[in-house]
Amino acid sequence: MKKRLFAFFGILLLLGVLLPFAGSRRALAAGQACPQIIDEADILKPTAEMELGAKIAELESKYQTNIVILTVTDMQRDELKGGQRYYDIQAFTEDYYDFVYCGGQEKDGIILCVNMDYQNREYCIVTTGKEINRFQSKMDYIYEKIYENLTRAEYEGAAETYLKLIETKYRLGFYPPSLGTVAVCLAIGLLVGWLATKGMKGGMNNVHMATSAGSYMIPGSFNVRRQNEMFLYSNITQTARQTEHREGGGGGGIHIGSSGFSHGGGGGHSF
Amino acid sequence: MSELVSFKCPNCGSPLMYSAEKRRFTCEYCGGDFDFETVQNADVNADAEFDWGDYKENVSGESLEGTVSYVCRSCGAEVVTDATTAASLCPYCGNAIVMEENVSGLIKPNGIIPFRVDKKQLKEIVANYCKGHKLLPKNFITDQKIEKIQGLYVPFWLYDCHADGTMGFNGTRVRAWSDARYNYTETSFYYVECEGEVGFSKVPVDGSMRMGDPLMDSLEPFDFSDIQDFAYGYLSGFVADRFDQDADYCLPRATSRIKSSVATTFTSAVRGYYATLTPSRSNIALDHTQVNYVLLPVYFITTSFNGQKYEYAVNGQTGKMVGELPVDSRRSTRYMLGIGAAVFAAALAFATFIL
Repeated sequence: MKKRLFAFFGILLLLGVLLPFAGSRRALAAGQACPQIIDEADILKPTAEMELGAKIAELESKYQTNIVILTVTDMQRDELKGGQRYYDIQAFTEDYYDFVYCGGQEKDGIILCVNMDYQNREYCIVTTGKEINRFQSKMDYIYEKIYENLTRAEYEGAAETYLKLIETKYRLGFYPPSLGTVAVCLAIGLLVGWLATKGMKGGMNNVHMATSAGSYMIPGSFNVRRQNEMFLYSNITQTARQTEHREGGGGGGIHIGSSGFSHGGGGGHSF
Repeated sequence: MSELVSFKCPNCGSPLMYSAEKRRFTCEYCGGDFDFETVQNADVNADAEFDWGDYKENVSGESLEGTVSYVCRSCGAEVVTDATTAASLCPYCGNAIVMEENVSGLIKPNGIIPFRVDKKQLKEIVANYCKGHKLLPKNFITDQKIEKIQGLYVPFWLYDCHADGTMGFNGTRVRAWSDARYNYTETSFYYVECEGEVGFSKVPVDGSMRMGDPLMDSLEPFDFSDIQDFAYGYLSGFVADRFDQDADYCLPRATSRIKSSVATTFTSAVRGYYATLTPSRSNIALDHTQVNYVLLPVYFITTSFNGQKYEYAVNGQTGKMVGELPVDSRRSTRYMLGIGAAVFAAALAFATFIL
């Protein structure tokens, strides 16, 4: 009996340690419990979930925001849209954040949703409240960085990158430019510097051979007596029109979600 | 054989100098101030008293590879100079002289633009020209010394021309439209012909081999409405060259400039109707209706800075200065790196915070 009692309390203690982290629900300021990492697609290892959960808890506490990672295999929830299936990952992610995570309240936060549907793997980031302006201008950059991990099936790595990018933006206010960007800017700087100096040098020598006599043309003396044209031939080229198509649906930018709250994000991207 | 003309003060007989500022002749010894007619009338008398027989014996004529010698009527010194020099100053007494034969021996100039810029203004012109150039060596403006200023009448040919003819072009027009599935672009090709005429007046080409064509071209424009009838008096106090490249020799340069302008004018007349226009054929006849020989005023200035000599030219009518200023290579490098660093920082900030 004692052993069973110890085992029972032991399990309770273990749950007490794990609950604030992975796959758990956390008590927010409003008193509502919300999951931080919802790994329905089961692509994150439990240990990684713990580490990620700890990191999220640290960032949320430090920057007073909500950070969510959601992985799914289909976009259908009983509590959303009357149980109908979503075909737009951005709409699904927004509704999930507004109604499931925040219980219908508008709260500052950022959510990454990875859809592991075998027919259409895609991911999407949605921002709400103060996070819209913080991340919107760099959304492409964030997508690009996460994409590098997702295409290599490094799902923990993608989640770590996501958290690292959030932290960097909060800590520095900007993302340090890549080496390639620095090299391009350096090349532009040197080129402009060289051209400007060349122009300045050119301005120090005004001795040039005259090639035209335009200034000696008698005003009003130019008279066109005859001008005619002869049609030779024509050719027509046709090119297929580009139709706007974004795989996975969902456009980026700032807009109002079905909840009536403003959201930012980059729309759905396949990987 | 050169015939010398100098202008002496009707009051004291001292050499007279022509003042570009006052546009009159002045005597530096007695302070006399005379207009052109007074001096010329007085000078006619002086010439009549001169014993040309003695003078001719002392002139050796064109010899020694294009040089001539002359005897100064003021101090009697014998001076050797270039065969093409038409006016000069006696290096011994400073008497202004004009070698008439070099002016009138072949062709007398049809006109002359007198110096309108005074020598006193040149220092200011040089200083202004150097201003605003950030790559000049440090202290160049303040430490540069004017070593020599020479006012020279440069021989120029002025070509009046009437261009008449036809130019052919290959032109294209582009039309674009779309339907639900495709974008279409239709490019139509045309042969365009334009026939017309245009006139040119007083296209200048210098007739002196010693003068670089780019340098003389750069002195343009001259205000040709200020051309005066040629009179020897204008040469007094300045050096003048006689042409050594005749009108036929200089004609190709004038033709080249005129043809270039004709092509530009014809092209601009039809360009508006086509997306692209490329000249394909040109049949322009140039009728050179008139060629004038004129002397135009140019100052040549030699300056020195840190042991180096720099040469410039100034349009003696308008004051336009031309020449190549020295570049401080260290300053140039500093500017290149400074501008480059500023642009690099701006580009990096743009890429980081805005893109």
